[in-house]
Amino acid sequence: METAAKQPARRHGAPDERQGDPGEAAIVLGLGNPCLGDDGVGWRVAELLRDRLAARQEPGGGAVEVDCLAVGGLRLMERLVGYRRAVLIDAIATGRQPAGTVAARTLASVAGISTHLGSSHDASLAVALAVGEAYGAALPDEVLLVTVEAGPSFEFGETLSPPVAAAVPRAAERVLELLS
Amino acid sequence: MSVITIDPVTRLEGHGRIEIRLDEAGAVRDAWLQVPELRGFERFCLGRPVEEMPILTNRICGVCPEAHHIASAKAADAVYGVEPPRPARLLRELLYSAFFFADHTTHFYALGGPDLLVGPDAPVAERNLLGVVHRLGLEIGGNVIQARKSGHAVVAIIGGRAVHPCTAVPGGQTKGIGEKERAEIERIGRWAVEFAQGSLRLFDELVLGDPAYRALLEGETYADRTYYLGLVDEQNRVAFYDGSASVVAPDGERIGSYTAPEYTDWIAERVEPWTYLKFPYLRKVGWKGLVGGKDSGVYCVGPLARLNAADGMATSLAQAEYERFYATLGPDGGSAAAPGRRRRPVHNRLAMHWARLIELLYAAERMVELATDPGITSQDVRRVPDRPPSEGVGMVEAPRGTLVHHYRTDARGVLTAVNLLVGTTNNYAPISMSVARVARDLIRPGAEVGESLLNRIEMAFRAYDPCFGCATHALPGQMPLEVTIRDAGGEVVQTVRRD
Repeated sequence: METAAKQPARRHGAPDERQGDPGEAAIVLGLGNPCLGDDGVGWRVAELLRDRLAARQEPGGGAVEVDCLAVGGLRLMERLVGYRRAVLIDAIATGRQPAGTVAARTLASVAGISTHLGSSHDASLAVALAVGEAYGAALPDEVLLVTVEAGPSFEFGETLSPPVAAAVPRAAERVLELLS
Repeated sequence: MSVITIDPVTRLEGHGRIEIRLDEAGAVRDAWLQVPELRGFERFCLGRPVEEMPILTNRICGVCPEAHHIASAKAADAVYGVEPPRPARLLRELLYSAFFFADHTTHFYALGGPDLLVGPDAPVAERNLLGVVHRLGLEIGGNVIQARKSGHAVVAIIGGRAVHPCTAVPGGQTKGIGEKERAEIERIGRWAVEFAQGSLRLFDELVLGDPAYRALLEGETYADRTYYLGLVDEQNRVAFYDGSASVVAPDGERIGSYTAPEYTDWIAERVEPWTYLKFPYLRKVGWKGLVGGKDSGVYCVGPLARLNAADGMATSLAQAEYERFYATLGPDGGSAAAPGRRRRPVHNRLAMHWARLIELLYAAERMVELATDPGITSQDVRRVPDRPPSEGVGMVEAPRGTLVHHYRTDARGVLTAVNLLVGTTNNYAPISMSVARVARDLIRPGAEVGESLLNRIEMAFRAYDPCFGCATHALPGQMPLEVTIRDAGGEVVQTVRRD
């Protein structure tokens, strides 16, 4: 989709969207389904970071919020409103790299491979962000992703496969690097 | 044999895939839906306390967590043999109406809207919500954003959280609401009624007022004559939160209705050798294959099915729209059905979009009714279970169709059996039939299958708003669409790819 290649332009939202001066704040979001094996890796990384980031201050004085989410598309976009920076952590399934491979990516580079950015019932994250932009929502200037390659099968369960579990600390480090 | 594969259907989760099989002459011989099924969720639940289920099942779907939360709580009520106090039932239904309002809005404007409001032949890059905004202008688009925000705000007030609500428990709710919250919900509800009316006016103007769309709505390409199933109240009016399931034949005759625990007497599943999908059908009618008609047990659920299975809507504005719907599209037209006979159903699947908007209006009106009920701020919201748990079934209407949660536990309340029958699963057979019908009508031997044609086939699929995410979102939310056409020898003769 054409719009998927565009990073949303920098824009600040309507006054009512910017309550509490969130302009300097950042959000770290773990995406995925926590009861579907490797699909839940985003949540594990976010949970690992929650304590470490609790005391952290953004350069402008805002906080870093950490949350987990099992939705994409418009609901994901709506969760990003009010933050200047966003880092999403998600499982991907390219099948072309070893399970547990960690990478930092831009939104544009993951169109079509990230597992949770879009929703079949509304829009891709890129379209959702563009729609949000059109209405002046205070969306992040940039949305970055840390991805972890999942194992070959997704089965219900609350444990990660060994290579993906081993990747959790590395993925957390990548998130911290992106935030610093 | 030639095979055309549409994989996956754009704007739908990467799980759906359509196979179209051609004959030697190049005409469509058969078509069906393929869904890579993730097994094991039910097994995953075994051994857990039943009271965890409203939270756990909430997580199996990122699209309609509210539906699973409420269906699960109702099943848990039944397991403990406890009926929640009236204020708790009102709160659950209010949350549920707000959820329906947000979900139906999103479907119409983001998923169906691109076909109906931007146009089926518009470039792919414009057939999305952004294209709808460009076409309709910022004001309407802004209202769509506001509608979602409002619906989620009500879910957060009653459900504790906007995305994965957590307040429905066996026997009722964990908390009530106060007057200030009630007043806010009433304000949102009144705004929602206006928004829904505006959406219906838009449908009138851009869809019913357009001769090409009107022809599609009234033509046979998208029509399949199946049974219809939907929950109704005591007066046989559409109900989302509670009621009995009404079953209506293709000619409009109501062949019966059943309560939640009776669902296995009515619904059976058919396994076909060519797919791992199991097709639910009406046990009392029997399986005759993927065909319509009164002798075939294939049934349809969702907005159109709910209207067809009911005798009307329980709110006044939605009832007026219901009358207009059947006067415009129904085989009986503006005249009343013959004495002693029910109104005949509308079979055109594209009419599901209009039906969804009528339900949108009903959900909004119902929000106002419930928010102004004197009992809504009562704090008598839970009856603590005092009987030993055993077995229970919870049944609701999810936006995409009837949803059943069925649990059995041991004497400690630990789950020993779990069965879920989700909205889209009910529609496997009618979706396959619709896709096949449209493909047969539109694909001509020897003619190239272009993108516009594919989109018209997908329109049939999208009208159902099918959801395969009930287990997972493990596959990409956005994938390229690839159609491969092979000749009888298996060689690729044409590939259509859409990124």
